[in-house]
Formats: sequence, C-alpha cells, structure tokens
Amino acid sequence: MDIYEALANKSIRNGILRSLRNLSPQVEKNLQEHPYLLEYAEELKKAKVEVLENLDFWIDKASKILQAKGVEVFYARDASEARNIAEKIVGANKIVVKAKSMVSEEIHLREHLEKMGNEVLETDLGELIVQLANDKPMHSVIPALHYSEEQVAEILKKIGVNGKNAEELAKGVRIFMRKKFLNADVGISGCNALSAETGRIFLIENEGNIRLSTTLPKRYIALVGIEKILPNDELALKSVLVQAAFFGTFPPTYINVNEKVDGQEMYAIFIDNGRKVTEFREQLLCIRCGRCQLECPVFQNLGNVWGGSAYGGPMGVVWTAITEKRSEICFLSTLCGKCREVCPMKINIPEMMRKIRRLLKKSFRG
Amino acid sequence: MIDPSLIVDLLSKNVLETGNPLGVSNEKINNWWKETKIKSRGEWLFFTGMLYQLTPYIESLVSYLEKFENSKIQSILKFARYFRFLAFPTLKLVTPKRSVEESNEILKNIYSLLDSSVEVFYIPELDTYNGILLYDYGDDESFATHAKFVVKKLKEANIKKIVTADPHTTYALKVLYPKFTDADFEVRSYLELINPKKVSKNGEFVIHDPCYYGRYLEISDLVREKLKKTGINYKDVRYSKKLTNCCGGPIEALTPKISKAVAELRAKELGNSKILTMCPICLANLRRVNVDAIDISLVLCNESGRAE
Ligand code: SF4
Repeated sequence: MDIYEALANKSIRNGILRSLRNLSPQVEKNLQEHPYLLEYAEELKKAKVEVLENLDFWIDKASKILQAKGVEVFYARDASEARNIAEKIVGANKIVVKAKSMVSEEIHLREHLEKMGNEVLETDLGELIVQLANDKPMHSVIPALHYSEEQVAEILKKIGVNGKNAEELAKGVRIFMRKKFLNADVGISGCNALSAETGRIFLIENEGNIRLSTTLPKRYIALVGIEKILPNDELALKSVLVQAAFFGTFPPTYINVNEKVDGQEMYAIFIDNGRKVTEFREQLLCIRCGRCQLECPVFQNLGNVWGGSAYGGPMGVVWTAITEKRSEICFLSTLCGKCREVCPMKINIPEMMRKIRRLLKKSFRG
Repeated sequence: MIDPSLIVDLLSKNVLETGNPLGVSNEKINNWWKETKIKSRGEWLFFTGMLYQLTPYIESLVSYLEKFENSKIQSILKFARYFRFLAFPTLKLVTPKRSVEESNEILKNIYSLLDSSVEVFYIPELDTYNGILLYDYGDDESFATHAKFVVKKLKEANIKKIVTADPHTTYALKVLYPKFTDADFEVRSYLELINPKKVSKNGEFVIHDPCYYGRYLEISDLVREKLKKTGINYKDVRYSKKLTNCCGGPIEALTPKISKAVAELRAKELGNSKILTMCPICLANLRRVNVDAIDISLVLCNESGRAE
C-alpha cells in the first residue's frame, strides 16, 4: 500500500480516530488521577539521557548481569546479524510463539524464521490478525486498528476460528493459541525495559499472551533494543508505567518481570541496528507509547503506511532513519509540533524531521 | 508527493535570487499600504514577512499541483517545465483578484488596529519575505543567508522593535533570526500589542489556533483576552491552544492531497461555527475544504473594516 492508497482507505483513518477517541481522554485521566506519572516521565528521561551518553558501559553491565544469571547474551550489530543469531537458537521445524514486538518487526524476524521452516505464531490478537492478513502493523501498540469486526472474522477463518462477534472470535483464538503455547518449542518477546541492576526484563500487556509465550516454552529469546537498558528495576518499572499511561491503559493488565528461571534456556539478543551511531539519538529516548502517532494529523490519514518497513508516524519516520534509511517521507510532516507536545519524553521530533530533510538536501544537490 | 528536490531547490534559488519564494520582486505583490495612511516613523516597525501577500498566489499554485500530484503527468514532468509552470505572470493570471484584495484588506486592518494602539510605522522597502519555508524544508544554509540579508537591512535602518502580522513571521523573527544571525530586535505579534474595542459581530465563532501561536509561541490565552474585550461570541474546541491541530497548510506544496485531508479532519473538529484564523496559510488551507473561515483581524474591527 502506498500513501495515496492509504489516504483512500477510510478504514485506516476511522480506526485511528476511533482509537484516539477512546484513548486520548484516558491519557488525560491517567495523568490527572496519578500526577506522579509526570514526575516519573521526567526522571525516566533524565536516566535515559545518561544511559545513552554511556551506552557501552550500560550494555556491558547489563550483559554481565544477564550472563551471571545464566542467560546467553548476543550482540547484533544489524538486522541480518540479529536474524542469524535467532535462527541459530531456534533451529528449524519448531513451533515458535511470539509476543508482539516492534523490534522483531524491525528485523523482520518472523518472516525469516518461517522461511527456515518454523511455524511462527504471533500471540497478540492484533498482531496475529496482521500476520494472517500478511499486512504491516498499522500502529505500534494497536497493530490491527484498521480492521473491522467483519474483516477480522474473515481473516481468522484461516486458522479455523469462527465467531459471530468479537467475544466469540477472541475465545476461538484463545483456544487455538492454548494448544500452540503448550506445544511451543521457543518463545520470543521484545523488551519494554531492561534493568541493568538485575537483568530483569519488563514487559507490559493486556492479554496475558506475553506471560504464556515467555514462560511455557523451554527456550526463551528476549530481543532487546539497546536503548531499552535502564540502570535499575525501579526505573524499568517506572518506564513501563509511563508507557502504559501515555498509551491510555493504566495500570496495564499485566506487568511481566522476566528473568532466567530453572528449567528454561534464556537468550538475550541486544539489537543495535543503527542505534549506537545514529545522528538522531534523541529518538532513542522513545518508550514507544504510540501517542505521537494517534495524535498526529498526517498519521491519522495515512497510518503506519507513512513510514518505513516497520515504524511509521512521527516517531516512525525518525526510527526509520535510524534503523533503515533516511527517506523523503520526512517531507510529509507538517512540523506542527503536536508529537513533541504529547510525548512523555518531549522528544523534539519536528527538529529531527528537519534534520533528515537537511541531510537529504545535500543529496539533492549532489 | 511532488518530488521534494524540485520544490526545495526551486524555492531556495528563488529566495536567494529575488528575496521571494515565487521569484518575483516584492513591489509586484506588496500593495496593501498604497491605500492606507502609513506613518514612516514610530516605535514599532510593522513587518509582514510577505506571507499574507504571497498566500493567494501560492494557493493558485497548489490547486494546479494537486491536479498532477500522484498522476502520470507528475512522473514525466521535467524540471524545466516546473520553471515555466511556476512563473509569476502565469500565477498572477490565474489567481483570483478577490483573494489578493482580501489579503490586502487583512493587512490594512492589522495596521489600523495597531495604529490605534501603539506608535506603528511601515516602510515598504524594509518589508521582506521571512524565509521560513527554507527553514521548514531543512535548507538552513539558504535560510541563514536570507535571514542575514533581512537583518542587515533592518539594522541599517536602525530598527529596534518589530511587530508582525502572522505566526510564521513572528516565529522566524523572534526565535530563529537570533539563532541564525546577530538579530536582537524586540519582536511581537500584532495580537499582543493591540487594544481592540467592542465590536458588533453576530454569530458564533470558533478559534483555530495556528500551531506556531498555540505551541511554539504560546500566546493563545492572550488572543482570547483580546477577543473578550471585543465582546465577540467565541468558543474553543477540545483540540485548541497547546493541543491545537494543524490545518495541513505547511505540506500543501509537496502534497496538496494529504494537506487537504488534514484540513478536512481539522474542519470536522471545529464544527459548524465560523472559524477564526490567525494565519494566512491556515485560512487558505481550511478554505480548501469549503469551510466558513475568516481572518481574526477582520473580526477585531467594526463593519467599517477599520478599528475605531
Ligand atoms: S516519540 Fe514520544 S510519544 Fe511517540 S512513541 Fe515515542 S515516547 Fe511515545
């Protein structure tokens, strides 16, 4: 789908506006009822800035603590390295259950593992719908917001799930998934925050699927964007709370705190993929709450189609510049500044959009 | 999307060669003051930054660009064709006279509102395009060159205090020029300086805060204070002030279609009341989706079209 097809596709706009209408007042309410969350956000930003200034130190510290706990740790410089590492851990002809993870989208891991002969299943309902429809997540937290109930019912028939309404469909998927969870060889998740103090991986969710994907299989792989490292558990916990509150669901239904447990092999793959050397370091403060996306008037019209192969919207244009390439899509921003205004980390996305333009301009002349 | 390299290169070339994004001398578009009693001395120099004067022509251009955006013609358009297409005489022919007249009327009103509030003066030769499009498109070098040219002229004329007509010019002069040049002027939007009187305007108005006043310069509350003095019946929508939503105008030259879709969303939020705008780009872009919108300066004055 290109941007003009997205523009003509009313279900994208309607889905985004529906989510915005539901979530935006929730965010306001969360902040009014829990004003300390704003302090957490400030504290978090300060800590993240410090970590980013000394990233090697923190990667090293986090790796050591993970290793000391028996986790096998890898460092992937780019997406292809990350895929190869994961491929070696997973092997072939396995059943893999995945928690929704944008960093996994970024490295296109699911497609790769499938090519290697594995059965890979997204366990988040929205992400599963996207997988079955062979689509791209339309928003980083609500990947299937652009599908109607009827469309979802049609898509889910592919895995033998039938139902007359959302409840029946969800129940059908739960039954289908349960079998997969029990037979899965490998579980894969992303990481919302990693504590360098304890090596604990913090993950929030509302469906309970992450819990199952990461605890039931014998082998567990955590994909960790290197910007997710925080100095301690307290900050990691605050990070996921702020993320949930600014998305609009607070408190989140589940907060998973994963670490190496007896009887499970655990692997952590640190993913660099452009982060360490980026000219857009400020974007690494992003906690992926997705608020800047829903509130952006261009995103409201184009969804994640305005973006790269994984990330879209205001944050996504910059993330794409970090992880893929600088692209002319930055010229679609109106620089209206709404993204910065609503961002918990107050990331100056408009200025980075201008920076991408400035760097591209050199190639215009060249 | 129209190829950004074409638009950006053409724009910087025009601004650097003629001081104006359309590649035309300011005298050709800056005529509002000719029918106004302007003072040539005073405390505050009125500086329009040419945005109100340029907007009618830019709008004509956009309506043409929209026709071949994402069409087969776009891919075969060659650079040279763009030049011919964008030439000012052609644009002038296709630009509605009433749009030009309305822009002139707005500027006359702003000047008049200022004249009854502070010691304002105007020197047409000092008024220049603000350069903001260069900045927006990331062409910082050209923006700096142009800003230095503008500042030099103003400094040579010993200007200390500047009052502006639109949010983009205000932001450029107040925030950007000090970063890119040695400018140290005191800069205010006219909305900050005027003391409007009671006016008789019927109907309900809804405010559309421009992003630059709402978020970048944060003067939305002040605008409301001024409006209260006039007794105008106005309302705010959920997305106003710091949370205002964009009219889509800034991307109109690169993607008129998406720009229009953004305007449609904003128009829906604003509802059915008459929309008050404070920026020529907002006014023009919102009107592309057929809303009833009016520049705030035309409301801050009485029916005569002048402040009393
Ligand atoms: S840029 Fe800010 S608002 Fe957008 S996803 Fe990241 S943290 Fe959230």
